[in-house]
Amino acid sequence: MTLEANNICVKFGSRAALNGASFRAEAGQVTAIVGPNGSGKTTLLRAVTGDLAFAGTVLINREDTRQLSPLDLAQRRAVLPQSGTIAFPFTVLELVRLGLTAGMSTVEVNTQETLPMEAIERVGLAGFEGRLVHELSGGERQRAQLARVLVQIWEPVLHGVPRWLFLDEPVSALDISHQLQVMQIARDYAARGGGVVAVMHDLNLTAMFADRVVLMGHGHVRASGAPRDVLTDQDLSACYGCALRTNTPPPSGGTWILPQAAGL
Amino acid sequence: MVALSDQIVDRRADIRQGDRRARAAKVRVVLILLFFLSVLLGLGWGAAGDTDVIGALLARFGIGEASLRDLTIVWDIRMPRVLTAALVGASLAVAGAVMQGLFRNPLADPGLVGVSAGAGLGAVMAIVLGGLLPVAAYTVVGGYLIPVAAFLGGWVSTLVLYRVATQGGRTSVATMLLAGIALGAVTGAVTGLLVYKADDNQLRDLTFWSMGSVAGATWAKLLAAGPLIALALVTAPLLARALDTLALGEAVAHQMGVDTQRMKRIAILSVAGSVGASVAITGGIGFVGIVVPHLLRLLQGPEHRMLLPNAALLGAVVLLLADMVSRVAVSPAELPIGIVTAMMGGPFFLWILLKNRHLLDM
Repeated sequence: MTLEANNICVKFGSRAALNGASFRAEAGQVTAIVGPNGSGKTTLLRAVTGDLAFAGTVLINREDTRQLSPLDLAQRRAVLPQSGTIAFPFTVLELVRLGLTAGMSTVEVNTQETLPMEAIERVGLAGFEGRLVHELSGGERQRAQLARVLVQIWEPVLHGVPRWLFLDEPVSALDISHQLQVMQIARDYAARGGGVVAVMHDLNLTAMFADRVVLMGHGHVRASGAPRDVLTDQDLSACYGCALRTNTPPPSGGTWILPQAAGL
Repeated sequence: MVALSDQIVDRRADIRQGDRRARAAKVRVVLILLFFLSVLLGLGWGAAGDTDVIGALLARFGIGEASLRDLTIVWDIRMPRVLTAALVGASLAVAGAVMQGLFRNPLADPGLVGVSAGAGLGAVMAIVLGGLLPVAAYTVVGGYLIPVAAFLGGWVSTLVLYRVATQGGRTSVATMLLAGIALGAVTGAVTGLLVYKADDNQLRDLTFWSMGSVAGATWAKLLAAGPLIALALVTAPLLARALDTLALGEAVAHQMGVDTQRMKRIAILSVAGSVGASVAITGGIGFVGIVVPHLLRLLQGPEHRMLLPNAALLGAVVLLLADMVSRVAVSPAELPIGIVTAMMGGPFFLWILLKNRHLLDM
């Protein structure tokens, strides 16, 4: 099963934010969308998730997203926004429980009451369930939102059909160990058969965790494919407009730091 | 009141588990008891204190006997009044909670959809210009001219606001808020103009209307307004899940499967209907719509599934209590109930805010 975005065009007023962007993502894989600021990454994701008016077509498991009701869509995909505010003092548990709204988290209805706690543990917030969301740190809040999103499509494959997890810069607010934790959750979701599409800023994490990379520039898809084919010195330098080298220590000989997680 | 303040201060212990539903259920039981208690008290309160309320209540169902005087006082005078206070209180509190959820702002009140300003204008027009109506028209609406005009005024202004804020099938809550301010200025100016033209008697009527009262309640008015209010009270819980998701923003609510446009339409129309009907039969009663939902959120958390039914109960209790105060404060005369809600609600609200400032900075 696949996600297909064909020839997506989005205009903000008279300015074209996306000029015919197309890409494919496979269920069972993590697909990362990368590119400089303003290249249209988030706009592309918002078109794909159905949160934006666009020209072109988006097919999730061969279904046209524009033919689906909000509820049907919510049962097929969940979205973690870049940042979120919450209007009233909800606790973490109450927030995560909202993920049950669409009503198809799992096949077994009787596990629904325990799911939110399971999701809270999965994102490493056990013991935080009674805290008020707006009193959390930025990183904790981001993980609480991730737990809510996970609850919405808890089973990666429902009735033989994969579900899709869309993440908009999921790790920008996190320290390095929580970055690894969240990316590992995304990997696990894909490993169990779901589809993951993430807008990413960190190219090193992308290289570590993504199966496919979509490189954006000026509202177009510049390249897509396996990380080692897309994340090349030439393409990256041209796209980001600065000198970039892969697998090379900085010329000054300064310190550089990369996590050394096993199995990556 | 002491118990209530302790509950608010202790709230941290209770939410440690993160689930405040058990606490909300307890609050509900207390409120149900308070509700029946205040209905019963409301039936006996004030002048003619020697009335045998219980006897008259039972006599109606064939149990025991009661004097004709007691039956009349309990069933024809106080019952419609008490039920009106309860229904209007419930409707204002629930409408307030729904509006705050919809506008994602704890300070929103039903007036934001234009219904109060429009209803006010309708009432003022009826009072000042009512005499200009042809005699034939006057005999049709008769004594109900003011409520009918208030209800229509509320509806018309809500519909205008809704149309202004809706573009391409999508209603912008922000536009609605701003257009509401503009429309409020216009209706305020027209109202001012009419007040300026009014004579002394009309001015007196106007003043009392704007302060609100349940003293004029009758079965006829109650039967006209009651169904609209009841309909809104029944539909409100259906919006609960959607209002919860809306706390995360409209885009997120949509991502979670909520048809946001449909829910906005239902919320706005039900508030316009129930608040329009409430204002029509009792005039302007402030503060219930803001204080009640706010207090409950501090007590039991913001989940609307538990908040909306409890708001209906507490709103009813607050207005029943306010009605009792209004009957005895300046006895043998009666104080308009709007003055009582503002006098009790204002300082109480301030005190709550002072105690919970840390919860409000978000």
